[in-house]
Amino acid sequence: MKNQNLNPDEFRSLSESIINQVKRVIVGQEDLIELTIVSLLAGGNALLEGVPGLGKTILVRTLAQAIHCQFSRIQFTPDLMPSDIVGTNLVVESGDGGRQFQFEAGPIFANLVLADEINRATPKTQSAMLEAMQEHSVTVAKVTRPLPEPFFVLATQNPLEMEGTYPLPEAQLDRFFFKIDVPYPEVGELVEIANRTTSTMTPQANPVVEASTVTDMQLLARGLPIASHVTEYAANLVKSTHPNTPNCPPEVTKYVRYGASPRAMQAVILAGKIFALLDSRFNVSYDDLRRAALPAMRHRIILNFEAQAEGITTDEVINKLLESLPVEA
Amino acid sequence: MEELTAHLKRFRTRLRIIEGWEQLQKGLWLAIAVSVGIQLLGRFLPIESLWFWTALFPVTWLAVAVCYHLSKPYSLLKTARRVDIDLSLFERLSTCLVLPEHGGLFPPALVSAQAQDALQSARAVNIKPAYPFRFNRSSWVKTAITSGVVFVLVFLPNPMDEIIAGRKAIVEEAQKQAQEIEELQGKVEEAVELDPEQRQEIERLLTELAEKLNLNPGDLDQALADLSRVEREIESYGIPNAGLQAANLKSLLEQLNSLSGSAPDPGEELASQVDKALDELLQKQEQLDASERRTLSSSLAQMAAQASQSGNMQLARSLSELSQAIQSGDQQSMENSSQRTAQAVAQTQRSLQAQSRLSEILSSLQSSSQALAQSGRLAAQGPPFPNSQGQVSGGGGTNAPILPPGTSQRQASSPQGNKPFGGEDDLDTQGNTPRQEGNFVGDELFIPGIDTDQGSTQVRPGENAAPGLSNPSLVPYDQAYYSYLNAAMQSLSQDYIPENLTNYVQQYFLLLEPQ
Repeated sequence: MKNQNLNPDEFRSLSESIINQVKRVIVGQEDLIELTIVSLLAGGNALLEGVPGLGKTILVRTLAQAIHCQFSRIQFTPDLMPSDIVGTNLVVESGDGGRQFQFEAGPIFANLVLADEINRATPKTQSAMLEAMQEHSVTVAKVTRPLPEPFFVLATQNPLEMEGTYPLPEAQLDRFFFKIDVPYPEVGELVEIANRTTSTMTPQANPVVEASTVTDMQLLARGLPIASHVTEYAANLVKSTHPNTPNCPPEVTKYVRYGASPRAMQAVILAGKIFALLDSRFNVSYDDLRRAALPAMRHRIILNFEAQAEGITTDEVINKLLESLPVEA
Repeated sequence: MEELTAHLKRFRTRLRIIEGWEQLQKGLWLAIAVSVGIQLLGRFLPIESLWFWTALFPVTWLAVAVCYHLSKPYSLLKTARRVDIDLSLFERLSTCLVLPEHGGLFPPALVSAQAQDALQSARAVNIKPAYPFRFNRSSWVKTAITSGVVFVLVFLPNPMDEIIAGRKAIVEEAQKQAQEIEELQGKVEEAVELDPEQRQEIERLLTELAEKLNLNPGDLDQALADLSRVEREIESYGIPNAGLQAANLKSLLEQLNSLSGSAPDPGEELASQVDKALDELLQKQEQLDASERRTLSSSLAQMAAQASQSGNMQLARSLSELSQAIQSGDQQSMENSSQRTAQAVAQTQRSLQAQSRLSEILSSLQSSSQALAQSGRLAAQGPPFPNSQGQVSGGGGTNAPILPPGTSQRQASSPQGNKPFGGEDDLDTQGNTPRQEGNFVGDELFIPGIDTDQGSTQVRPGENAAPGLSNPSLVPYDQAYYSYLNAAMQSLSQDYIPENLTNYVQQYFLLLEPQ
């Protein structure tokens, strides 16, 4: 196995190095940074939701610099076509005067892709993007082309300007490993942002790992042991998000229309493994799963009309769920 | 893994102890509260060995709690999960324990690293500080309060103690009487005067009675009722008017001796004496003239009438035949009837001897009843009071307990007031004197009345409500009785007395008949 070259201590050390490099550029947003890196190390894609100007693009760019990967940014607009993302075959002249088709790779062919305001593109374009996210490959003119590894998409969407957007359907949302809320910075953080960005000295991240190392880290994380009762807890956690489950909390019964999918459980466990490794542990604990529950399930639970009318969020439902599902010996 | 298992076993032992301790703190006051409830219940209901029952629940609860916590199933995995949670070990121990079950699901290097990590965590745990004995103050305060209440209740006088002591006394007395009844069975076996069938039946009754008394839980009424039932059944084997018949036999002998002119021989049996007197009378009648025969015949007829009145019809018939034979002068008839008379006398005498045995048995049973009643009364009233001071609130009569129907020994204890028990002039002692149905001698003092708070009974020291009954008698009662009976019968036969008064006198003596 590739991860035989890497041990958990090195994993933690490398992770911390990446985080530290990102923190050199990004002010505050520690949860955002950590969850983004967890998504990266778990081999998943993250959906960032936050107002513009919170550093989402800088985050991805910095991350790409830190892990020494190719970075591309796609600004999603209604007129964006799938071929604008995945690339297309162009007719080019060859050296002997003949003409031939040559594949011109789109911006998706990068290690880190920022899909900015993904909900502004048409469903067709979104679908092309999401297929690439799921399969880590694109098919153009019947030719399937693998995307470079590691492949990590960080999509963003603006929760305020919803007019003229195409909200991602549930099935598409389910493909995101994490949905990370990007909070507005505190005053102190704003001051620091001002200091860093309004002077001549712009901090830069240094590459601390190679792309292949990230792949090794992903493999190591997947191999981390997890006890059966801990896995069972994750299963119960996800199962309890369904309103027809016995003993589910009343909030779920009252406000949830559809519960989380099995992908949520996979995400919770994988993220739990990363959290365990980041904590220098060799096994997953209940706390790791509980910590992963919010970002892994908040976009996978569909609330009913009553919840929307009362302003109930999925985070509130998940928190109630975590309260009602205590850890028992 | 072995080292981890050893650590987990150590944790398990500690957890058992700590959980037992916590359970003890939480539940002890509840167990003691149950004891408080038992103590309170013991103040309204007579509960024997109340201390035992009071202590039983907390002790049993403690024993069960300790045994449960020391022996309840506590798997190593459960221990590991509990320790993981309690000591924030992040499922290190439990994961290490279950990983071997997953086979090759995880890379061996990581599994090994996890095991080392778990072992290191287990080694780092200092078990005593990790699981200390914590004192739950509120639980101990509750325990102290409930314990205090129990001790106060235990040392406060309990009105039910007297009832329990009474029951115990009754049980002891019943067992003692059962033993005496078993001894009485031996006497019954030797009583050749009784029919074998009667003897067998009486033995059976006595055996049953002894068993019932042995099993009696302290119910005085039941014990007395059992005794009374056996008494009645034994009484049914006796002959009615036995005393009158005995007196009649004596009177008959005296009259026959008087008529025949023969001298009584005290050393000889009554039947032989009667036989002899009849022989002499038959010899004498040959020398009598007609007038004297009529007189003799009349006397014999009167004797027949007396025998008839005593219920001895066989004797009455034979005497009547003898009277008629003498009057007719038929020698053969006279001899035959004389023989039958002698046989009837012998038969009556045998019956009276059997009756005497029955009376002894009944006397023993009645003594048992008396002893039981006495023990019951002592238990009910507590220790004896000083000599009577006079007034006892009688409530317009008596509040004496009336025994249930079928109990021949009824006692009236309260009306005597503060009289010492067991003395010669104790009315209850007299009241329970053995008696026969319908006799007043030795009958109980039973004054029916309504138990009210009004009225009073005057009792003066040295006197009792039935003067004369307890006076010491220098002449045996049955001797005096038969002397008087004899004299009365002679008067009835020799003097003119109106028929209604004759019956009155006979009834009077019938009632005075001794056992």
